[in-house]
Amino acid sequence: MIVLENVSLTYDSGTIFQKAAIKNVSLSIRKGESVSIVGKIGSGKSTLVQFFNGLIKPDSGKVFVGGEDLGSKETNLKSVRRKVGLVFQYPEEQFFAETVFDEVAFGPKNMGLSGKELKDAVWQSLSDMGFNPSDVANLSPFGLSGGEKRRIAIASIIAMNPEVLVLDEPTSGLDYTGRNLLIEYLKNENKKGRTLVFVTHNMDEALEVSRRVIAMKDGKKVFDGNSEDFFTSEELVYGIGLDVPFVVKVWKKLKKRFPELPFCRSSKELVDFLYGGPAR
Amino acid sequence: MKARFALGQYTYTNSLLHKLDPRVKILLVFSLVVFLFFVRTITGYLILFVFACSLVVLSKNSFSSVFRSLRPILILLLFTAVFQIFFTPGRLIFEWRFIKITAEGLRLAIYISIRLILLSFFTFILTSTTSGIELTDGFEALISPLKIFRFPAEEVSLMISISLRFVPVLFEEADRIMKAQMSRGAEFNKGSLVNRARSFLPLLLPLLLNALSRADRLAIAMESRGFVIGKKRTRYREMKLSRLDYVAIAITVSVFVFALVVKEIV
Repeated sequence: MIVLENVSLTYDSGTIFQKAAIKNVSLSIRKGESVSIVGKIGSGKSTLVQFFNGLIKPDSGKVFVGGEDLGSKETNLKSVRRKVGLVFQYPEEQFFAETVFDEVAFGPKNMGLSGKELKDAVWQSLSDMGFNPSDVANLSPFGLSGGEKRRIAIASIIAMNPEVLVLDEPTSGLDYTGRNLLIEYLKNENKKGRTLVFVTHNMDEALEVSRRVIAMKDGKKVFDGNSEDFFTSEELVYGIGLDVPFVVKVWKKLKKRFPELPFCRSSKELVDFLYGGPAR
Repeated sequence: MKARFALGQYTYTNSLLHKLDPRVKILLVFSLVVFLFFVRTITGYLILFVFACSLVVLSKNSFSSVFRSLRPILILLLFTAVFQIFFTPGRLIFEWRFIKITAEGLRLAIYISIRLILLSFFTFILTSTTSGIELTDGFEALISPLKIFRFPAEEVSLMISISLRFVPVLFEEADRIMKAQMSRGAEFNKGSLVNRARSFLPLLLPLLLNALSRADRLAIAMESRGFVIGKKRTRYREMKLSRLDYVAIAITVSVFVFALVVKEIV
């Protein structure tokens, strides 16, 4: 679905501010996958995902989306952006419309939808994000809570019905419930078949959301593979300057006592196992 | 694209010019720029040009960055030069149909161009060797005598320093919001003028809202750190004239007087 070949990017090249942001990264994301991109702040995660819908172009290397070369002049970037929906960090800071409906409808309208089609798209995406559409459609998006705003912002991308949903730190600044709700909806979107790319520096979330993890350090890809392999290797995780998820730390201790304990991706799974069924 | 704002040309190269007192630098550049228009000879300008070039070398800046800083004024330069050439009355030296060029016009055009180029050379040297904080500190010190006329010197310089500080932030944010709206299918450079103007609403509105809320947060942060308007504050950097500053003043003044009184040699 998304393929990067030897992609490199340097900011402000030729000046003294020159800074290599991405160094020779190759990767491929298949349809229906869920991938977490992890790394410290400034490791190039956010820059990396902006290649995925052609917002930035690499200095060297190639980017393909659905087989189309984004560097080619014939490629329609608008249709690429419809395929790859990118949710920026703090997306609610880009709100401008008077009502939730208009806010969510901005994307699909730009894609040429109107009338019933438009309304259906908005309604569907709002209910996908856990809202009762008729309750919120006429409210001002600015009056909602932080978690609600975040979900509206994501709904406005989902309303374009992208095949790939890319989210840059979607949980930062959310409260506990808001975060949990969002993670559930995202996992659900992936289950329904939408490809999910999840950028985060929260290791517990990365483990919970994705089976595959890509780790970035100083603009280079340093790991790409199974998230279980990654997070159970302290050497790997600490080497990149990240922390082992809390769940994995507890799981490792428990594993010594209960050798039959399977790998757990979230505290919920851990508790479920220990209580022999879904916890209260 | 990262918006690197032209005002923030400050680059730390630890040269002698960086060590000068900002007040001295501001005053010298200011007077140079004003008195530039009193020099009447090409030789005088040549001397100033050599002086400006040696300052660039002394500031350890590359000449390419100086020329890059000239780029924004290029259109202004061409425009004024063309106007002077064609619309100054005087002794005709060239005529073709309605185009008339006079000796005085040509002379004026050359002078204006040299003046504008020198002007931006000197201001470049000032802004590339003086950080934003030093500039506003220097500016505040220079306008503080106006306080006896109840002029709010501290507030004005605070306003300047906050605006300078947030210009790059605004540019970066505009870039970010633009990209985010483009991800939602927005296009900013297509369609009729009205459509184009309307397409900027999803950019301008969030930009304004975020700026207002940032201003709010900044005010609270400043107050919670004990800032009170009009109250006397002490400084981390005490500005003090050193021997280097006196040397700089002496050299600049003498070069300048020389440029003013020198006779035309060509």
